[in-house]
Amino acid sequence: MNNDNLLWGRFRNGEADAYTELMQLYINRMFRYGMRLSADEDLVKDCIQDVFFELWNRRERIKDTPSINAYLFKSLRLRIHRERPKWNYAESLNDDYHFTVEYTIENKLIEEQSLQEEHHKLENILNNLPKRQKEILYLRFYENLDQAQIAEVMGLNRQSVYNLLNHTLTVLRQVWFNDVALLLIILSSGIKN
Amino acid sequence: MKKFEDYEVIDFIMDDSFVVWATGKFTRKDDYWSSWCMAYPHKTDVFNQAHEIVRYLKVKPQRNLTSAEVSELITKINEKNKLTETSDQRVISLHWYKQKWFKIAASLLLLITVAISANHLYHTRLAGNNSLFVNRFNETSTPILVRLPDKSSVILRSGSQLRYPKVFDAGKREVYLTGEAFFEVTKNPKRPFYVHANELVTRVLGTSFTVIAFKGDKQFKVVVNTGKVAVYRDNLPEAEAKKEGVLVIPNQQAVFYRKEEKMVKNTLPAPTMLSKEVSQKIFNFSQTPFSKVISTLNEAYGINITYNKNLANCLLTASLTDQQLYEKLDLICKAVEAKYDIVDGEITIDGKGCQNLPIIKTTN
Repeated sequence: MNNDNLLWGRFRNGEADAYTELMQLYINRMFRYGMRLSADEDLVKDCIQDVFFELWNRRERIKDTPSINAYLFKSLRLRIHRERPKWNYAESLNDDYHFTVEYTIENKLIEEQSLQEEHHKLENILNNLPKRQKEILYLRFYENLDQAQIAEVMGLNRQSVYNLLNHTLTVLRQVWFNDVALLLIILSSGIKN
Repeated sequence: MKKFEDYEVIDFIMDDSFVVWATGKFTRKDDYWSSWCMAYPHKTDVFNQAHEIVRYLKVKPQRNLTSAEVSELITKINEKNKLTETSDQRVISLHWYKQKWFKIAASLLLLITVAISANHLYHTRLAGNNSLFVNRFNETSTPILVRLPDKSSVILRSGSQLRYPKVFDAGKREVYLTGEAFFEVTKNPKRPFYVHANELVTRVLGTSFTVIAFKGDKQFKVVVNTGKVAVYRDNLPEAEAKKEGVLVIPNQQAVFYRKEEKMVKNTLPAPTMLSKEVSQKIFNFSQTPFSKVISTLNEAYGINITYNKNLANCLLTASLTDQQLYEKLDLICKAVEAKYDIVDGEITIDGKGCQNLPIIKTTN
């Protein structure tokens, strides 16, 4: 964290090295996230270029930011949403955004057919979540952003992030734990006999 | 901060140290979270559920960029920065763009640039003047309309020259330009369309865009109205050229600095007249007098269409946002029972006119 702040400070002072280092550190992460928002690789790369181009040209006016990650993700997200309709002929301008992510439940210990079905059901729920919930889950689990950072990136307030995630988890737990717990009881009693 | 007694699954999941511990990245055995359950036994269920979710819920990864791709991006960004700084075109803050006066000033600026460029009259002939090709040179002071074999249309500006084959190849459509022209290319993904302009190539599948490449200019430009266009250098091997080329989308332009042999991409401060958003506004006619329809076309395409005065009061209801100029003319003429003619690139419309002023509808 401290290193990041130092780097950001050097960049704001106009040090080209720091700017290049920032790009080295964040381009791939931004690409991974951007590809969730649009499947067009050229568009995502283009938007990343624009974000960094603007960053350099506005460096004197950019404020000290507590989270570089959230700042860059947010800039990229806004830009992709703005540019995407232009790139894709078929999409209308007010088309709502996508968030593409595939979740899996990894548990090698369970090989029972019935439990595999549970897995399937869980994965189905996860992959059919509303896009905002999908995105929050992704930012938390995969990109390791905290509540405040997720709120900044997605332009939500912290309470909404909390509520949305809580809702997702509640739905998930109903399927995941009620049924799996039941099955485990059945299985373990079978072993005892 | 919430008290541990009140912790729910979400609170564990939002807790960074818990997530690190639960994913097993934390190796110390006698750590804090292992003994947590002992301290709060009534929270064991919630704790275990959170643990399992963090441990087993995974995101299917997508591809990462290779380090070569990252370097390529960094090079492109740095080059763009360098060029914009040397040519002193630093990005103006967004607040400026948003203001109306700035938009007007910017469009005026664009017109002036075009006007100055048009003064460079270079009467150079293109090589290989054989009869399989058509050569059009606009020596007049007004733009002319050229129709290509594939029905694409080109508005060739004053002092510009276009060369194209009488019949296009099966696999690609290639034309050669010196000067400035506006292209509306018919869609055909199987036969990409190439515009060669000195050391620059523009490759498209079907779209509309302007190429500005006068021989004496320091910069060449490609401005895109609709669709997606690739611009790269003509004098390099194709693979290499494509790598350093740029993709241009509506309301962007590619600028090629000839001396530096560098290409950059800019966003235009205001959408072009023929962009989708402007088209949708200006080419939706409802009970509109014919004269107004024609003046809209004239303004948008920068051409001059003359017509029989009888037609002036005909009323037209039509949506002409997606057609190219020829198709627009076809539809308009059909609606008012007129005919158009193109002689030496000049368009004239002739018809009897609408005595009873009927409501004529053309929809597509």
